[in-house]
Amino acid sequence: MSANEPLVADELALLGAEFDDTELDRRVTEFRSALRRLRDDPVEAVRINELVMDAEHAQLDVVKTTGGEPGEPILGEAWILDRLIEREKTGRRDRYRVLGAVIGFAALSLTMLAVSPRFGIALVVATIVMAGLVAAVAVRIRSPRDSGNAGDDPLLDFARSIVHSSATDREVIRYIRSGSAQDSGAWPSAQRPHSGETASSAARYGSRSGSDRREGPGGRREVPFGPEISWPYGFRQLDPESREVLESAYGTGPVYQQPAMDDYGYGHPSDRGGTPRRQSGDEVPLTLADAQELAERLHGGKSAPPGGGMQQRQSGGKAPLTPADVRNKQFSATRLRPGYDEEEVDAFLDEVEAELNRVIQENEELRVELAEVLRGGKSAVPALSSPLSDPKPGMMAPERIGPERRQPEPAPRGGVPRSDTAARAPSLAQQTGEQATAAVRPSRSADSQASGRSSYPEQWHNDPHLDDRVPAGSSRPGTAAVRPGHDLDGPEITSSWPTRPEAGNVEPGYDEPLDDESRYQEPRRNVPAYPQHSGGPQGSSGPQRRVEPQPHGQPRQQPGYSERRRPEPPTRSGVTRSDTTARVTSRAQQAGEQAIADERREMDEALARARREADEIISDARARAESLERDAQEQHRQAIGSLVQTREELERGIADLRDPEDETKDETENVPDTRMT
Amino acid sequence: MSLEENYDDEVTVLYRKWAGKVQGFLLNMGCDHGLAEEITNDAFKGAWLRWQYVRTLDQPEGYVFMIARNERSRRQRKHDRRAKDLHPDPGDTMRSHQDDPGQDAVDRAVVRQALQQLPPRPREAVLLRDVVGLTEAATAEAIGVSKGSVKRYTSEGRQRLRLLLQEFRYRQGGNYR
Repeated sequence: MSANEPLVADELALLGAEFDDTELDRRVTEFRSALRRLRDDPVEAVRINELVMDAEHAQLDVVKTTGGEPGEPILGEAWILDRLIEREKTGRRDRYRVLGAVIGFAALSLTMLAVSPRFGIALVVATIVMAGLVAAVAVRIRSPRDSGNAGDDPLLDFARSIVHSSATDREVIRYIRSGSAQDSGAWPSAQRPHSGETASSAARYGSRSGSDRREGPGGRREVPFGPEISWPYGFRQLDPESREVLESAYGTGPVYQQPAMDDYGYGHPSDRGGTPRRQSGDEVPLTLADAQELAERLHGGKSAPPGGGMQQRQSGGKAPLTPADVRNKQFSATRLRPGYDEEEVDAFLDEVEAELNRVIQENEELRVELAEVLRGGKSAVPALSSPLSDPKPGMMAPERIGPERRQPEPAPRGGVPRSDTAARAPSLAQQTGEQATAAVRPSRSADSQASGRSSYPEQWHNDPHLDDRVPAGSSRPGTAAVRPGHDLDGPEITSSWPTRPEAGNVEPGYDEPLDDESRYQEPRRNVPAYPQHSGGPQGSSGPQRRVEPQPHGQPRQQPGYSERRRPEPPTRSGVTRSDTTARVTSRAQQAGEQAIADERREMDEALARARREADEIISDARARAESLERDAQEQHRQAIGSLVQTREELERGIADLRDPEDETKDETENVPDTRMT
Repeated sequence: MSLEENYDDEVTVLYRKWAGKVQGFLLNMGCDHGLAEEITNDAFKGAWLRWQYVRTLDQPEGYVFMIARNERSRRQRKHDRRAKDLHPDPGDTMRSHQDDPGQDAVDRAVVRQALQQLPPRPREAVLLRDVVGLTEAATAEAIGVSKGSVKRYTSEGRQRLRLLLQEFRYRQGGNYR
């Protein structure tokens, strides 16, 4: 304090005024009578009460404007604020709920307006009416509450006008002022001014003063975040419905369906008509060039390739579209989005479509032509079931050439029943088609080796004994009808399946999940059990595994099953499968299928010629052999006859020589006899 | 109103002790005599109405001063809003019941005039602390601020008042003390 400070204090003390005793007595008596009047006059009491409340509200103003210091007792502020915050929160919650309902109904009505205008308009009108009703009800709800509070709690009314829209800020202020968030029940007396009040306080301030049990220890209302966030008793059990949904979504339940392809690149062998090599899409298929090569081998290059004329007819000036073109077509990858360039693919597919339409038309004609030819020459019929009729494995549509597709094929093939063909095929092929087979197989094996695909073992190509098992397999009904034309194609008769290394060495870790999933797959299959081949090295006594190839081809024809489990073409398996890609692939598959059928037909024709040639050659050879044999036998007979003749002469000479020496011979012969006896 | 009878006695004791100071404070704050008297009585009536709480306070006079101060400012606001019966010079209307002619009266007028030039908060703080003689806690409760704020306002008011008085003395040519 400076030196002037007491001076100022003295001067200020001059302002201090006190009643003298008479004045004081007069005022005191006056005041006591005023108190008495106040006790009897409610109007005066209300006036004084408002005056006091105004003073207390002014304290709130002070708090709001000046802030304060931690721990500083502020009269009634925290108490009032608690009540206000509570009311504000509940009020806002209710308002938000009603508002949310109205908004939701409005959204629903707008949606319905978009769907069906008439009903939507009705809903919009209903929404407006509902919003109006809600507003009216809200007004009616709020106003009696305010008016009701105004009677017994004008303090709150006044304070609400102050803190109406800033309850949260007020709360923060209160936290700051009260020093800590856990200021328990022991507040300073100034902060809970009416805690010990009796009925009079209830009349003035409402029925508060700690009677609200929802409040926290500090008089603070616990903010109800709700049980949606915290689950006090741990995570609840899933109800069955939710469990089912989750399991179907995540594939742990019985609803789960396995994808069609497994990790090995091929699904169940029955899906591809017992020809697992078809799934090995990298395998180079037999193409028209192969057929031409074969024809050249058989004909010695002396005649034009059988498909040559057709090709020339097809070409029509530009290079013909072959399945190889479809297969080798390269699409440029797109940037910033997966898949091929759609326009590029579409353009190419248009080209393919036009070309293939033309080819199909031509092939129809050729088919009729060929049918006539084939009806004329019966010897060409078995040749139709050539290995070339086997669909190309690496073509665009390997799965399309499934069993369900191959079955109707015999009809356009000249009307010869396929069962006959298949029944005769093995022996005929074994006897007469060895040359053709020998010509085909090296090229195919070379192709498969070049492809580097190990899923199709080499033994299937070159095992001629596999052909013998087709009749054995035909003991099951439908095998011959289902799988015609595979007599020369080794892999289809996959009795060697169990002995193939992949199937035999299935990892145990791979077995167990497959067992589990096979349990789920089993009910889906219409045919309850697979054909048991108990002699298999893997000794699969349980349910058939998906990776395990069916050695017996496909004894049952389930188009639906095959359709469902249709595998993706392996050449496309690495590509992202957007819808565009799937559509493009399917169209390309169809196109490739057509091309393959045409190819097959051409190669059938080529092979028919080849086999006819082979038949001629073989019959010539056989005739030559027979004549040679006859010559040899004759010579043999002659030689034998001369030998016999000479022997007889010699025996006669010996007898003549022995006659004079009979005794000596007997003696000499008897010596060992006597010795022995 | 189910207040007990002995509340009257307790409030009367408080009244007897503090009524003059409350009225003097109100007068120094610019109220005329009748208004100060009325506000003083109302303040004590309010204390009587809240006596169940006020009696628990260490310094009930703070509460009384709070009511009186608030009532005065409320009437002042109402008065200013209506813009009538404006007091151009509050010092003229302030009449102490102990006013007497002489140097004290001159000094009292000078100090009152200086007080009128103070900002409201420091003026209230100085009045309550130095003139009325309230404690810091009671002053804080009366004004509705913290004790630290009371200190700050008080020192600020004193400083300003001192400067004002020095300026007044300089203008008086050293005639004043």
